[in-house]
Amino acid sequence: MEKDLPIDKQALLDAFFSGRLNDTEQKHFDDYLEGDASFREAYEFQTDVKKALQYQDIAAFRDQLKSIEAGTTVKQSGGRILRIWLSAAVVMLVAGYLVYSTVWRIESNQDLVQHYFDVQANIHYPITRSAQDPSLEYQAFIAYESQNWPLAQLLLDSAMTVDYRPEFALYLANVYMVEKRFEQAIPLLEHYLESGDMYSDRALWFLALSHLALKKKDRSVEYLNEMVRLQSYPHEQAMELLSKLK
Amino acid sequence: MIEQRIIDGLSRSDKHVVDELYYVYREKFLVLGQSFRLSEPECLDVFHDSLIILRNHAKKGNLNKVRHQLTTYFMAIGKYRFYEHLKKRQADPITHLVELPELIDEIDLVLDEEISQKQALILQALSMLGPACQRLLTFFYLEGLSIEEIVLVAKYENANVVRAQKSRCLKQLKERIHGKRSSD
Repeated sequence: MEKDLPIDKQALLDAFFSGRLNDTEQKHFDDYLEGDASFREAYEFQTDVKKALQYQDIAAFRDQLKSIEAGTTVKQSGGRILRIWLSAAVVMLVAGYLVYSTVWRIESNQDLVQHYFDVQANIHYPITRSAQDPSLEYQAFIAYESQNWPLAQLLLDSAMTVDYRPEFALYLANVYMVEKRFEQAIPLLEHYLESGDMYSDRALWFLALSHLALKKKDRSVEYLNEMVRLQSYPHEQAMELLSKLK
Repeated sequence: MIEQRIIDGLSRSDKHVVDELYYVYREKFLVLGQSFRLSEPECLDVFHDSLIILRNHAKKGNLNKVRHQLTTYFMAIGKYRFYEHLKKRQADPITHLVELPELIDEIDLVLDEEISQKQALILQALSMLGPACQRLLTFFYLEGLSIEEIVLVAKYENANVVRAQKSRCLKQLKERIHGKRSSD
């Protein structure tokens, strides 16, 4: 039968496992681990106990996550019948809306935004396909031009963190607008507008459209008026949109 | 910066908190993973691993020191896990260029789920111990409570009683393992 560890050595192990060893204790601990076989054996056994408990704990948590996911799937399939009825109702509503909008030619804010929004072309980083540029911004603009919006968002976001340049905000805002995340686009556009970049007045147009999408017509009109005053690109479209909003 | 209720709830695997995190972040992970052309099950695997890592940090008390928003911190863990997943699959090199957020250096992202044969035996033997021993060993080795904290939490008489009880539990555990080994 193996002997119990002396109290002082067990106290050292207790302090180690609860993460409370001070510098002097750490030195004793290291010395014992190096030269005391029974101490090392006790340490290894208790480390294994800890790892076994952690393993069990993680397995239980993983099961909990799987059961949440299973619930998500059940909810999704449970809603299928309801969705069939809803789809039928939506078809009727859409048909009604089409008749209504065709006859009365009423355009909602969303329609107007969809009609006027063209994603900003990449005018800052020319992409030549033969070039092998591994830089983050280059890869970001490859994703942007390929319309791989989630990847473009991730890379532009990272590029802004690593090496901030104001134009990144313009393109990232455009990605958000494509994804209809106008609330996130607005602060980036405001930032770009203030940057003094050569094309910064282009933010006015995107701000006007973003505010319109969020049903803030007054703010949208303010930006459009500013565009007309400054003759900012695309001011003709801005004038046309203004007349529709009045 | 991270709400205390999230940290505490996650450490305890509280159903409401875990459900909340699950539903808030599930879609974000799917969108991110699918942008790397990963399948939904792959995205969910990475999502689950990332939640486990986040919970490990909550348990260790690391989340209390975090200065970032939960989303920033958690998505940084997620990006790293996606990156590791893609590296293992030797996927399209463009995805390898995804720069990881700087705060990644500050986070321990290892998810060690390997178990040795000896640890598997310990696990079996643990299930044969009485509930008092299981509870005490869990408090000490898993929750990281000190002997003094266990006195308060589990209402023991004093620290010496806890030490003696823990020593008996470990001894019983060893006996169970030896009994199991000799019966196999």
